[in-house]
Amino acid sequence: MENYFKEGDADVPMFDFNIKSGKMIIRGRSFPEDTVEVYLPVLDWIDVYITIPADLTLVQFELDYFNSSTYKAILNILLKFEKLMGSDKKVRVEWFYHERDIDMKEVGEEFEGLVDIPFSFRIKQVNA
Amino acid sequence: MEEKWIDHNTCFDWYSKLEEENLVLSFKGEFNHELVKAILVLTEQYKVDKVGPSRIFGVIVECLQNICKHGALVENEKKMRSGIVLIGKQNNEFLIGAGNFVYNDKVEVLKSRYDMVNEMDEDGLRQLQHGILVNSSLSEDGNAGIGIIYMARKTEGKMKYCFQKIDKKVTFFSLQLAVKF
Repeated sequence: MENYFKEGDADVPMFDFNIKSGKMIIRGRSFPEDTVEVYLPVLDWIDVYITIPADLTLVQFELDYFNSSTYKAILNILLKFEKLMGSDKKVRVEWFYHERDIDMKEVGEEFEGLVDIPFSFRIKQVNA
Repeated sequence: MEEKWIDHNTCFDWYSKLEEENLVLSFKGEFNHELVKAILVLTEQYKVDKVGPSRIFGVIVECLQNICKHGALVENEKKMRSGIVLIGKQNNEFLIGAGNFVYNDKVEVLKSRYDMVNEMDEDGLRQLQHGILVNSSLSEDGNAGIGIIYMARKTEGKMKYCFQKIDKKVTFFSLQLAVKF
């Protein structure tokens, strides 16, 4: 199995999923024309990954903004990783937001309420 | 070409009008995904450092993608999803106006969705959104109205909208949102 890496674009986030380190980074904006086309390969990859997970899987969401159909995609990603809960492997989510972007923090808190994975919230460093 | 389709005064009048209305961006024409990307790039230059980018750009994306996904194809010289978007900025609000054609047979469903969502409070909207999120599939087209709920949750006050019947086939749908930043 190979790592999952896809460059981001104006409407699609970067995916950097690393099997060995267990670090899964999703960074950027997400409002693709076809949500399924972008996220289905990611979900399929996670299905295989959770059969051979790292000791700690750290899922990092670093999103600037996203559209409503991405909501569903994020929830599906979280539900896949949630399957690791209760196994002998650990999984955590780090949710990044700009310091003043309370909306983005709240969205993260809503996802936290929908899945059984520990979340922590981190302030994103703004690029100069 | 017709003589004098637009004169210099008309040009300045349009400019003044847009300036008066505090518009920072306006577009009329064919809506597609490339346009949505371009408009977002253009609007991102208007810094919204008080709340960060997610609220305002999230709502703009939703408005524009609604037109791309649900707009009626207008039968003029070339079939296209025609529409208009106006983005204004004043005081501490972004004002977004979007207009597009919808087929008459979709109007009832659309109107009842907007009416229902507009009547709900934040708690109700959140619960409805979560219910749809948990029960829908990734491929469901438009996620059964989740975009409307998303816009309602981010809009200051109620959403304003209007359906103007144009002919036997299409209705012009216009939507106005104010988003605080």
